[in-house]
Amino acid sequence: MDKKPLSPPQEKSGFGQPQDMAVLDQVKKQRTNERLSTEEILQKEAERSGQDFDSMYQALAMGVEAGNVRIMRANNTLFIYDIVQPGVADFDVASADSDNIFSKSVQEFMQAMKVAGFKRISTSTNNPALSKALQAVTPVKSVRQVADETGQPEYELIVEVM
Amino acid sequence: MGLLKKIVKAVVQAPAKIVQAIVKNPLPVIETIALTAIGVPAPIASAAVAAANGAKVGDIALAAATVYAGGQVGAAAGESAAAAGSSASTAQIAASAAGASTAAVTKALATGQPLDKAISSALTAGVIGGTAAGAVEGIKAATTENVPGLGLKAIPGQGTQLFAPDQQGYGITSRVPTEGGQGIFADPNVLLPASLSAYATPPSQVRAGAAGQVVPRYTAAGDYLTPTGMEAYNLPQETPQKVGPGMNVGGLSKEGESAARSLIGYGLGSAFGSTAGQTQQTSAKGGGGATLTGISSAPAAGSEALGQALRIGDPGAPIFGGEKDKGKKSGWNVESLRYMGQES
Repeated sequence: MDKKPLSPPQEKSGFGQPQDMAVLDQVKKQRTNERLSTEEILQKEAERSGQDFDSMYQALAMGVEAGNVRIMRANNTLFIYDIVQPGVADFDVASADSDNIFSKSVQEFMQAMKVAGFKRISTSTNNPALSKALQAVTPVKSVRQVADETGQPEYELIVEVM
Repeated sequence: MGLLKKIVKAVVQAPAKIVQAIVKNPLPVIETIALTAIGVPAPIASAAVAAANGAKVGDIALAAATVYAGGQVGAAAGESAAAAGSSASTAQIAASAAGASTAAVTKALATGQPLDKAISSALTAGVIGGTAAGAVEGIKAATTENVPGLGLKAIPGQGTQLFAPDQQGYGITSRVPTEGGQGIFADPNVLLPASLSAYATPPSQVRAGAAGQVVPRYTAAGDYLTPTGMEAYNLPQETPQKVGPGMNVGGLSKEGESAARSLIGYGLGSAFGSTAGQTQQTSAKGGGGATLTGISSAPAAGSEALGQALRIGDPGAPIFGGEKDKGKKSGWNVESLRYMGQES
């Protein structure tokens, strides 16, 4: 019986190089929901939305210092909000959470806003996960589809905090 | 448009050096856990609520301190503060609750400061010292060249380090207005155009007190200390004066006072159309005996007409009725109403 020749050994894939390890680190962080720094979260948000990170960070720092803007954090999600009037806020989200953790973060945020005495919050978003998470947590008072400055559709949501 | 985009759009892009300085400092973030978790020490929860509602640094620290000092939670807060000294997670929550730097809170706790003080000092170092001082440092670094478009050209030196944490107190005056801060002093010289600056007057160092007396504007000791050689510039201290009926008007001689009274009397006499050669005596309203003697003068034509219309040009003439009405009681009654009906 002829012995079938063994297949040649697999070529070295190059896996394990430093750049791969960096990617693996990121994957690991996401899987284990490791706590990212505020800068890292904003960096991700800047990449996602196509904004300049420096401008975003500078704007937030100045807004926070001026007292116009507050940032609340739940897991790896930052809720940036502006107090329109006592008990009413307009907010936006910068998140590095996976979808299921994101909905928990939204829940925590809503609870925190309730404790802080807010009655109504609103947001404009093109993130369906946020819309979904908000509707799961609390009754949405109104939803309106509008077009953003680029013509892309986005939702304006007004939510009662309860 | 989302809020984040609006905020970014609203801010003018600063030079790269300033941005780098800002980015180096952590953004103050409020942890939701500080608001939602059970068993969060009261000062922390209070600070978190204050921070979430947009309170200023001082108010956040005050919120923490107020609850901390409160009798109801005194014991609990004491325990939590003691525990906080060794608990990194509590320090983290405390810091994030107030939007301060965790490292700064931990450091303050490690130096033996109570929790409220730690939050307060961390806020000063974190919020103001972090972003503002970072920006200021960036501005300082950038002042070796012009800062285009921002209108900022800080001069390097202490005057630019307004909010550095090690320089607390800059920009806050120790000059407290006397008597509870009534009255705000504006320097009238700011209204003068530059071409008229030579006519500027030194701002007054005195003010009217609650009882009408003259008091120093500020209670600061600096006001009482005049550098040697500058005494010539001291403003004369004004003495309190009261002006009332029958009182000598300060600053007028006897002759001047008499002339002033005559003038006032002339004015009143003209107004009420006194007849020629008649001496008018007028008692000041509520004056309690102040008497002004008028100068005899002929009435003006307008005054005479007014006097006739009001029947006061003829002293003693009744306003209603005449000789035929003598014996009738004055006042509004059934009789007078009948009388008025007959007249018409």
